[in-house]
Amino acid sequence: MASSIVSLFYAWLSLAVPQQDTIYITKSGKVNFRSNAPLELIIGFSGDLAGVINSDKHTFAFTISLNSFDGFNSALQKEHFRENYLETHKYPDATFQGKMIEIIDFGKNGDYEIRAKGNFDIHGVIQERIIKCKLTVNAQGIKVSTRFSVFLQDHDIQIPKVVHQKIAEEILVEVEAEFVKR
Amino acid sequence: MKSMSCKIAFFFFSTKWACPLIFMFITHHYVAGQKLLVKDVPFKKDHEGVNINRIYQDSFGLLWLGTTDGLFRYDGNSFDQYMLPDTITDNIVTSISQDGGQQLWVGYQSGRIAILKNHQFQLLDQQFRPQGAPITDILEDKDGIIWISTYGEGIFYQNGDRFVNINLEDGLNDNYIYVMVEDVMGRKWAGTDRGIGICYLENGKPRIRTISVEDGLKDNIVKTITSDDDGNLLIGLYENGFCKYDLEKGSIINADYPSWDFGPINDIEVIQKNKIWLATEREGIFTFDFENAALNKVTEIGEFKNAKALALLTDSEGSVWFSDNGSNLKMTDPRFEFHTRFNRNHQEINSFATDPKGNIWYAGNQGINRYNPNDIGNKVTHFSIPQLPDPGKVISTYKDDYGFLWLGTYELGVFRFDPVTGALTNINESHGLANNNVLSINGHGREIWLATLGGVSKCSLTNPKDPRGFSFKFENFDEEDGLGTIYIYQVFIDSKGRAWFATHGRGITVYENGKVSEFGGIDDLSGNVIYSIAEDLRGNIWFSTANGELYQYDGATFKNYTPLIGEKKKSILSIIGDAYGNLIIVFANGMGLLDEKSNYYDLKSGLGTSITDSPLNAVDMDVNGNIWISAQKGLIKFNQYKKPYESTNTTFIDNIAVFLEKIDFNPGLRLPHDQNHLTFYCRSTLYRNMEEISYKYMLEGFDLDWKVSKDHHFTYPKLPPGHYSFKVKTKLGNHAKESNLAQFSFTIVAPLWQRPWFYLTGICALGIGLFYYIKSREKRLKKSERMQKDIIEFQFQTLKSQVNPHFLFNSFNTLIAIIEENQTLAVEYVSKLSDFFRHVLTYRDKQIISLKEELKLMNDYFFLQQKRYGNNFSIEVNVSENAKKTFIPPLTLQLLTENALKHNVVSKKRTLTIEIFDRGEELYIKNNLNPKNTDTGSTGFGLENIKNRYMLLSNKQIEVYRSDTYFSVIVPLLIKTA
Repeated sequence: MASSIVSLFYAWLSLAVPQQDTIYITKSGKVNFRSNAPLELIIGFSGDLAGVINSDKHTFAFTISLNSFDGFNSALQKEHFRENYLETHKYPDATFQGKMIEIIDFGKNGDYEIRAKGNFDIHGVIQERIIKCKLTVNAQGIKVSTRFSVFLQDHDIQIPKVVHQKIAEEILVEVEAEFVKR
Repeated sequence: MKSMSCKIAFFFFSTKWACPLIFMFITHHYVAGQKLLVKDVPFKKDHEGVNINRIYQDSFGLLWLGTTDGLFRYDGNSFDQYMLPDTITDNIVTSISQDGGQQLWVGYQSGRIAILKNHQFQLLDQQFRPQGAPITDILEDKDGIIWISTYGEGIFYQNGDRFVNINLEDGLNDNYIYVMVEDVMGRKWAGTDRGIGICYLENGKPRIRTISVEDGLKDNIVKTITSDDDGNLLIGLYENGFCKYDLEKGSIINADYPSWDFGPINDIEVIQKNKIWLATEREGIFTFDFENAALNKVTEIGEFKNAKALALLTDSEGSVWFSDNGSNLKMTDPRFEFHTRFNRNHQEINSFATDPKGNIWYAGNQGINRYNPNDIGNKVTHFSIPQLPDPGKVISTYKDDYGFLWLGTYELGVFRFDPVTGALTNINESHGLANNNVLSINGHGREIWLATLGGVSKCSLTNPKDPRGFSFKFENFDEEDGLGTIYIYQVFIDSKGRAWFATHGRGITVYENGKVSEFGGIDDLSGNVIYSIAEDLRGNIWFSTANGELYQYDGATFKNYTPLIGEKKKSILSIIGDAYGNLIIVFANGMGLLDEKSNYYDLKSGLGTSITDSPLNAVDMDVNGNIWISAQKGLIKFNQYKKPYESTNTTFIDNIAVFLEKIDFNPGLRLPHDQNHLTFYCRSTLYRNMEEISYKYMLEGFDLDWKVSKDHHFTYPKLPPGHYSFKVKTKLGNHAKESNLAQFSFTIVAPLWQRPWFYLTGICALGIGLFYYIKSREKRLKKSERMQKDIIEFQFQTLKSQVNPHFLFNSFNTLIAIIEENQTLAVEYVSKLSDFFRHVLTYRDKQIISLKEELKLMNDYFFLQQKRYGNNFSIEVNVSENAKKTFIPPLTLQLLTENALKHNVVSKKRTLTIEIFDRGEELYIKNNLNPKNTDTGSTGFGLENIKNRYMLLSNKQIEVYRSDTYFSVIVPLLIKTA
């Protein structure tokens, strides 16, 4: 499943990016989320984040299969997460693609604070987001780390009243990914 | 001055109390203690869930709202929705603007543009193909070129019929344009994700300059740009707030605020010089003053608190409108600031004084308070002075030219306070003050005037700055000195140094050239209780009375301005001249403004009910020209920043309906005579004083005079044909000046039968008809004449033929032969002959006879002839009974028979048989043909005669057929018509 998405993703990549541009990719970025509700803390994690950064155009694209998330407090909860809340059969992936607001010199090693602006698509609802990211550029490539929130309401994710106290309205997301030059 | 009864005294005072200055509270917060009267505009009520992205005011003064559910027009009464003609879902409006032709351009999130004209949308899809990127701004530049900014596809500008794109590839910072405005140089400033792109055309080619973080911008994401009156640009950022761009210097001026914590700025409006309003993503609406770096939050209460503010607009009346993402639409009059928060004890401020630094001084609990409305930190400074009486007893306050504060009290005389040293001096009757109840203090340089309940004291300071203390002398005036009365409500020093006194019951008195005098002979005012005196910028002195009258004295005459204020007399508490030449009037329940041109404006709507308990003459103008009024346990600041104050309502005809059906109307409208029920829907927008608007209208050509109505639509039910001109204008209240005149001319066309050309044609047609009638009558007469002639001819010919000698001769020969053989037959023969002639004579006058009669006549003739020709001649008659009832010209058959006998040989070998039969409406007379070798020659009279008679009798004609063997004539049978 995950590999098919990744291959699709590369297909997009080859179409969208002219050969002369410098491309950094990752296939195994780490994403974890926390839902810190009054009655329950839910944590999920995945290592299947695929991403690409065009350092010349300062554009990027990320995708992750929502079925790749593990963790949770029970198997049933995971099932609910997939089928009832995120409806992964209809909307299997979460994506974020756009451009970097800040123009940085990828040729220079160092830490950079940038804002990534783009369309964040989860549960089939696209929201334009500006997300602050930390970029560490070194000889190996680029390390990207960021934390942001996803509001369930923004993406039309319905939580039944019964479990309202167990799932937070605001889900905290952490991303860490190491990109290498292709 | 008859008797010099002035008490002059010299005193030397030492400082009695020098008190430490105690600062009551010092706060460091962005919020200043002022509020605005924010009104809720009832949009949400019917449109819950619809958000207002844009607020726009058109050249008529109408407000347009670009919402997530179409375009709305707000006229002060109702919200009218305008949807695109071909979609009900994609109606998210993202931009509104107006071109030079007063057409409204509306941009949509779907990337489409529609133009609204005469309440109809025209889509621009053909010229500007939607790219899918939302339209963020549309503007018509100075050269009339349309520029369009999009969120995702860069900028487009008009080049002839098409639009040219400027984007990243052309050097634009970014394709995502949040905002586009034109600067005074005609350049377009585009706010993008990567700074500002400044675009302009040079020789028809686009040129781009950029401004970004490298140039000093605090953030590259530029969400909004607005131009101020000086042409500088105000720039709202995604992070770190906002800044100003000085166009002249070409540099960025960063505003002085400590940190920005209120999220992206979605909109900025310039309210006055250096004062802006901000719509923030996280915390609603703020104001910022560049002069004192004061940042104020406007929306602290209610639903708007912490809301995402979407749009801002200052309308032509100076009101500010704003919207949020909770469907709210609010409006406020920023000229009025309500300062109540500083007054923590909710203490009545009976009187106050402003100082050159903009501070406000007033008596506080156990001391004196200094309120600095402009300073963010030190809002109120308290000077503790336990010796001062209860603040309620301090009824007049004055700050003199040397920085000393004078507090007039009930019963305790006056206190002079030195804010620098904290020294306090009490001056009362024992020091020569006329009375210990000091109602008003005013001054000029070293002269301090005190109005008391025992006359007026003039206090002359001899050495106000003497560090050891100060000395003064009093000069007192009472009714004996020309004051009129000892009860004085106010003393006012005008720009010429004259002191004016508001007396109780004696009108006004004045001190000039060393003496006090009454205005003798001014009957208008002499019996009046004067409460307040003011001077305007032109040097006119104004007076208001206890019963709400207002007078102006221009140095020569008094003029009563009371009727201008309104019919209902309102109690006037205070009057004061402002920095723009206006007179500000404070009533018990509101405020008014009288401008230089004597236009009166009610300011109540911006005030609400806040003015209710203002003390008498508790007004002052600060160093910046703001008027301060004590009311409602606080202070109201009136900020008359726009000069001149314009009545901006535009009156226009919005719609015209015929039989209540709205029509498309254009100048020179012509309506048919039966479309004569007209309704004119007019509009005039003055959002502040909507209920004060009354319409004056007149239908020229119908109404003889102007009519006045509060309604905004007027119906004329049965207009006779004619030329009309509908005229309408509005006015506010009863006395303000009238608005522009809107008019519409039209014609109701007279019905066909009432138009002159119709008469003309009618007469012509009648003439022609008459002509033809006469003609045809003539023709008929001629015809009958001819017929008559023909009949006479026929009769003559018939008679001639009947008496033709051959016939007689033959008849007699036959008779002779019969007499000898058969006498009975001879008798019959003669009787038939006689019958025949009798019938001929009987019928010859008739035009037609029945076929039956004709056949009988012919039978007689046949009998006579048959005796001559014997069996060689026979006639076979086969005529139906119906045919016998029809008619035929007399002697037709006889004539045809005679013709047959005349032209054919009749012998034993060649017998002649005539067949007579009918077929339909025709009678056939047919005989076999044995032509005589020597024809006696036809006169042609017989057939010709029949033909002619038929022609005259009917339109039917006889037909003649001739073959080798037979000859036949078909004659039509006539039906006798009554």
